[in-house]
Amino acid sequence: MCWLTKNLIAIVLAAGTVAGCGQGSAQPTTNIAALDSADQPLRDDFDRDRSFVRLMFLVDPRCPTCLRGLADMGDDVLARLPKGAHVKVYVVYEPVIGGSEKDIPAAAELLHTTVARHYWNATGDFGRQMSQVLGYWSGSRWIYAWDTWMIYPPDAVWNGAHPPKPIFRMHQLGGLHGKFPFLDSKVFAAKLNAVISAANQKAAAR
Amino acid sequence: MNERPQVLGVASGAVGLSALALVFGACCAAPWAVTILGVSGAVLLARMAFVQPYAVAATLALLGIGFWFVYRRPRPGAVCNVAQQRRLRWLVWAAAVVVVVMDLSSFAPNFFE
Repeated sequence: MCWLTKNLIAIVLAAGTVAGCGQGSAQPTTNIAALDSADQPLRDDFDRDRSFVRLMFLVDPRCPTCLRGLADMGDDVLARLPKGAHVKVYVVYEPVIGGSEKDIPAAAELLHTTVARHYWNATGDFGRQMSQVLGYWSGSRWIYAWDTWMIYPPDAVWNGAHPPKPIFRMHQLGGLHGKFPFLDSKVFAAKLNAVISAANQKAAAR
Repeated sequence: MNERPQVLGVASGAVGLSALALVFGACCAAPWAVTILGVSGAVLLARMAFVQPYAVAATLALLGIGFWFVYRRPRPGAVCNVAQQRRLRWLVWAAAVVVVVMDLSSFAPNFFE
């Protein structure tokens, strides 16, 4: 019994050490900005990045489907962008199913990019605003905007109380089946490339 | 003919598969997946979620087989153990209730967004 207890203690200690090592292996630090009630600093960032094609993702950092969406965006969209592409990425994290700010770094890693900016909206107000902007009306109620993936053209400006309407959006929300396109990262990538090409042609024509 | 192993097999298979369907269905709306499996595991589970409707269909097929075993007409001359047959019918009905509840629950997250 004593031998067994000693071994069990040794195993538990070893497991704890290994787990500690895992946590200690430095993750790249993720800068996370807190959104205030006026949607700052996202609003300023968005307008400052005018002339860029902008992507905005709304996710909960603990939602598996959102995380899969982030991983797909990282693999199929951001990793395949042409070098020097004029694209900015904003990821707004919302606490829909219990996600918290401390979950963001692990979620952010799925994008495999350092160009994305990350925002934490602790109140969840941003999703309610975007629900109106995007017209997420199910027929009987407004559906909260999350698990949503948007493209903004270079000329989009945030000059009203709410964010502008994107040129293209996809989602993974059950209540919106058939109303808006369901997320397919390859379709999203094709659309993004078309928007980038159009923006480049427009810039060349000037 | 003793059908106990077959009936036990299909009933437990149906219950097991419906539990799997429930995991795939619920994973995408519940934060537990990240807690238990980590971010990579949760992503993998979400990528496998497409399996859920097929798993539900398989559970219903297994239940159908189970009902066929316990309600089919015995062959002429076969020895019929009435007590065991009744127990097996109870078992299949109990499995059917569990499976239907879990199958329906696996679709529930779709209605809460």
